[in-house]
Amino acid sequence: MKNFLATHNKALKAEWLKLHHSGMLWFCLAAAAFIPAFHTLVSFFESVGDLSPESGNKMIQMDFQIFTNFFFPVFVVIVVVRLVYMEHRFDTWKLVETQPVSKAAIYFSKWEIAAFISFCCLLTLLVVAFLGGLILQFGRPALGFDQSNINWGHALQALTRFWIASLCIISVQYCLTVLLKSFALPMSIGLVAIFAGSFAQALGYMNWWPYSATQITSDTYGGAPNGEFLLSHEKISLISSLLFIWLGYQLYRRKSFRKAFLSPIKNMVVAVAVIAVFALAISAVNKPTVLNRYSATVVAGEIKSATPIAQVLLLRSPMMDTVMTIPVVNDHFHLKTDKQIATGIYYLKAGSQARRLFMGNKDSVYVDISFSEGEPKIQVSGTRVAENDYLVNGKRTDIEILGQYANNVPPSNFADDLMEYYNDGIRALETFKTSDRIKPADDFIELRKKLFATQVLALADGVYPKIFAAYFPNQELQFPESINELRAGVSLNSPELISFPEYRRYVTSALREKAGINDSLYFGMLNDSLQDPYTRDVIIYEAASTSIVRLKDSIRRNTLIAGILLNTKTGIVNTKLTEANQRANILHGGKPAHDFIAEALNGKQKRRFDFVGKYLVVEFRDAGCAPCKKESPFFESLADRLTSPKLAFVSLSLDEDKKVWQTEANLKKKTKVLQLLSKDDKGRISEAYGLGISPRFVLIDPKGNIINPHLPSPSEPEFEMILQKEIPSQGFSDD
Amino acid sequence: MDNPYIIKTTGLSYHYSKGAQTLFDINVNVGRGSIYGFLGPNGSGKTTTLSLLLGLLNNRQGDIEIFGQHLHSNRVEILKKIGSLIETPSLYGHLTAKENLEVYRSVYNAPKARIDDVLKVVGLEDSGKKTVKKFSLGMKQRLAIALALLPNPELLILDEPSNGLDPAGIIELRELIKKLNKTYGMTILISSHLLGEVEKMVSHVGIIFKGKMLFQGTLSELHLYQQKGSRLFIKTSDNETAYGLLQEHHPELAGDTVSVAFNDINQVAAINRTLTEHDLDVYLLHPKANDLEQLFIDLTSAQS
Repeated sequence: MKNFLATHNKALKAEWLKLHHSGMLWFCLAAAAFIPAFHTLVSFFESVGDLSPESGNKMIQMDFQIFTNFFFPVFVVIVVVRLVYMEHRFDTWKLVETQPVSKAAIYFSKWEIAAFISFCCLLTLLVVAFLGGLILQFGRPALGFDQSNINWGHALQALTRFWIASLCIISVQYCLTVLLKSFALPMSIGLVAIFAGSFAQALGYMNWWPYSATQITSDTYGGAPNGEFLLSHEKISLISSLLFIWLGYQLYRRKSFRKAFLSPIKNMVVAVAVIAVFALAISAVNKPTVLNRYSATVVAGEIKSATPIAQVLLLRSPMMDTVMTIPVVNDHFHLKTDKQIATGIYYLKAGSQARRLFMGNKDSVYVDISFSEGEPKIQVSGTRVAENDYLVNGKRTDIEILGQYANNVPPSNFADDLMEYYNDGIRALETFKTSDRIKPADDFIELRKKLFATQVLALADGVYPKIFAAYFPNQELQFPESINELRAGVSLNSPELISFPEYRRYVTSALREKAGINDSLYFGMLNDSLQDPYTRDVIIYEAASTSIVRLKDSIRRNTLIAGILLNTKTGIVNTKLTEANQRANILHGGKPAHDFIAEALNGKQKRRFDFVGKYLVVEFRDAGCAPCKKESPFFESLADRLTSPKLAFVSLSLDEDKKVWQTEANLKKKTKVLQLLSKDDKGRISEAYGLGISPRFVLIDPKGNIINPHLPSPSEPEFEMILQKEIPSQGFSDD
Repeated sequence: MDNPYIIKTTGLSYHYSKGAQTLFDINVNVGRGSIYGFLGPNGSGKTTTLSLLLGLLNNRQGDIEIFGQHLHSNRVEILKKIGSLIETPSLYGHLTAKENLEVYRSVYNAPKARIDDVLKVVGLEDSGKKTVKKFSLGMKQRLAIALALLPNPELLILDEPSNGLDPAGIIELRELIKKLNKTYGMTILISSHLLGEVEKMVSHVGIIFKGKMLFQGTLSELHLYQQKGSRLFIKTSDNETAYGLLQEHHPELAGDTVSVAFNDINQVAAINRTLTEHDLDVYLLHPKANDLEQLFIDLTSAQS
C-alpha cells in the first residue's frame, strides 16, 4: 500500500504520456460529438412542432439516451481493449513491470485512464449538445431554444450516473483483456456481451448486466423517484466495478487464471471469500423493498401552474364521486384524514388535468404536478409509488386480442393460449420493481392477480361460448382444469375490484352472455347476481349508460331507466343516470342544437346559426387526442367525396391554447372540413352536446335540429350509411 | 560493506508448468563493479534467470538478493537502481524515441536533459519525429539500451543486447559497456549465447546449461578450466611416489588426490599398470570428463 501511494502518480503520468499520438483523444471527441452534432444539423430541417421551453433539456436528454443505449458501451469496450492491447502488441509489459512502480499502481492507473476517457466522452457530449442548442437558438429561432433553461443540475447528475454505469464495463472488459492477451477476442466478447444484454433487457429477463448498465441508466434518465442520487443498478455497477478491479488485479499480478484463483488453495479461499462479500453487498442493494402503510391517509403535493388552481379533488373511479377536496395554498396541498377509503383506483383532478392513482387506507401519496413547461407533468410518489409505476409502465398483456383469433380454436387450445397470457402477466407482476427497486405491496398483487383472472374469464365465459357454439355445434363446452381453477379464485361478487375496468367488463360480459339481448332480463340478472349494493349500482349504471346511447326510442328508454332507478340506491348513480337520460331526451328529440360560437382560421367568427339551410356534420375534438388523429383522415376523405352545397363539414376544436389549435388547423387548410376553434365556455358546450370522450360526431339538419348526436366513428362504414340515409340523396354529388 | 556481491541468488529454481523444471539450484554471484557475462546456448534458462532477477516472474524457489536487499520485499526500491533490456526491445511504436523515454523519465525522477544524454550515448540523437514503429531492429535495440540507461543505474542487466546490431554496432556496444563500467563504475550483467562476443569485455563469466550452472568465475579461471580438459583422479597408498611416477603427465597434487590430464581411456589403463608395477595400492582411479567441453565447442564455434 505504501508503494502504491508513493508510486501511483508516476505510473499515472506514464500512462497519460502513452496516449500521445495514439488517436485516443480524437476518437473520444469524435465519438462524443457525433450524435449531438448530427442532431443539431437535423434540427434545421425538422418541422416546428413541439415548441417548448424544454427544448434545451430535451436535446441533451435525447443525445445522452441515443448515445448511451448502444454507442457508449461499445466506445468503452474499444477504449479499454486499445489501452491494454497497446502493451500486448508492443510487448511492453516487461518494460512496464521493470519500472520501480508498484504493480497495483500500474494496474489501477490504466483503469483510471479508461475511466477518465469515459468521463471526457460524456462531458464532450454534454458540451456539444449545449453548443448545438446555442447554434439552433440563432440559426432556427422558431425552435424556441432562446426561452429554454438548461437544468444543469440534472444534466450533470445524468452525466455522473452514466459514468458510474460505465465503470463496471471498464473493469470487466479490462479483466478480460488482461486475461486473453489479444485484440479480437476480448473485443468480440465485449460486443457480444453488449448485444446479449440488450436482447435480455428487451425481453425483460435480466435487471442488471455490466454491459447493459448505461442502457438501463438511459431508460431511467429521469432518476430515482425518491430523489436519491444513484439508482440501485448504478450502485451495483459501482460495487461490481470494485470487485472486478480486484479480480483483474489478481489475474494481472499472478499472470494466469490458475495461479490467481485456483492454486495454491489459499488463493482460492481468498477469491471465494472476496466474491462472497461482494455478492452479499450486491444482493443487499438489489433487494426489493415493499413500502409499509402510513399512520394515516395523506394526499399531498405541489402544483406549478401559471393560472392559479384553488383546489384539487380526489375522485373515485369509475363514478368520479368526490372523496376529498383539498385546498391549494401557496402551490401546495396537503390533507391528512382518518376517513376510511376503499383501496382502488382514484383520480386526482387539478384544473383540466386528472391523474389516475392507486391508493387506499393509510397511504401517503405525494403528487407533483407541473403545468409550466408545455405538456403537464404529473409525478406520483409515496407509499404506493411501485403500484402506480406498474399501472403506467408495467408490461401489458393484451389478452383481449385472443378473442379475435378464437375462431375454430378448440377449447383446450384456447385455454392454453389464455393461460400463457395469464402466466406471462403474473410473472411480470411478481417481478415488477421500480427503477429504485420498490415492489408493489401484497394487497395490490392480490388484486392484480384477480384482475388477470377476470380478463381470462371474460374471454372464456363471455366471448368464447358464442364462437364455440358456431364452430362446434352440438358439442358441450368444457374447459380444462386450469380455467376452472381460475374461476374458483375470483367471483362475480368482488366489490374490492369495482374501481378496475377489467372486473366490470368481466361481470357485464359474463352476464350478457347468459342473458342474451333481452335488456330487462339482463338488468334483472345484474340485480340478482351482485350482492354489494355499490358494486351492483355502478355496474348497472355502466350498462344503462350504453343503453341510453343505443336506444333511440325515448319512450322505451325512459321506461327502462325508470325501472332501473327503482332498484339503485347509490346517490351518485341515480343522479348521473337521471342526467344522462335527460341529456338523451334533449338530444334525441329533434331539439335545436346549441348555437355554438367559434373562430375560423381567418379570424372571423362563425356560429352554428350560420349553417342553417345546410346539413351540418360536426366533429368535436382536442388537439393531441390520439383517437382524434386517427379518425380525422377518414372524416376529411368523406368530406372530400360527399360534396354538396347543402352539406357542411366542421371540425370544432375545444382547445384552450389557440397556438396549438392553429398549428394543427393550418395543416388541414386544404381539406373540405372547416376548421373552427370553440369560443364557448367549455363546460357549457360539453353539456349542450353531451360530450364525453373525444372525438364526437354530431349530425344537424338544415333547420338546426339534431338528427344524430352520436354518430359512429368515420372509420366505420356505418358513419357513411347514416349520412346517406338521413340526407336526401338529391343533395349529393357523389364522385 | 559486508556483502561484496550486487547480485546473489541462493538455490534459485523455477518451473513454468508442473513437471517441466526450467532452472535448478542456480547460484549467481555478481560482484560490484564487474562485467558479468552470462553464457549459455539458446533455451538454457538465461532469460528466465534474468526475468526472475527483475521480478518479472513469480513463484520461484530460492532467494534473490540485489544490492544486499531481498527482491521479494524491496522490489520497487531495487528496481530504481536497475536498468534492463530483456529479449526483444519493448517500445511503444506510436511514440517517437524521445517520447518513449519521456514516458518513464518521471518514474525515475530523471532530469529532462538526461533524455538527450542517453540518446547521444546510443547514437539516436537525430531520430527526430520518426515514430518507433518505423525504426530498424538495430535502432530499436539502441533505443531500448537508452531506456535501460535512463535511470543512470548502478546495475545494468542486458539480455542478448547485440541482437539485430551490425558488426560495427556490436563493437560500439562493446566499447560503450566498457566505458560505462570504467567511467561510472556500473555493474553490468550481460547475457549471450556466444563466448566470443563477450569475452573481450567481461571480467566474470557464468555458464548455464539446461537450467544448471556449470561454471562461475573470472575469465582467467575459465581459460584455465578449459585447458584442463578431462582429468584422472587417483588415490594410492603413497601419493608422493605416484606424483613422482607420473611426471610425464604433469600431475597435480591436491589434498589426498593426484590428478592428471588424459585424452584417451587407454592412458588410464597404462597409468594403472605403471602404478601397480611400482607396488602401489590403487584405491581410486576416477576418470572425469570435462562437462564444459562440448559446451565450449557450441559457444565458440558459431561465432565466426
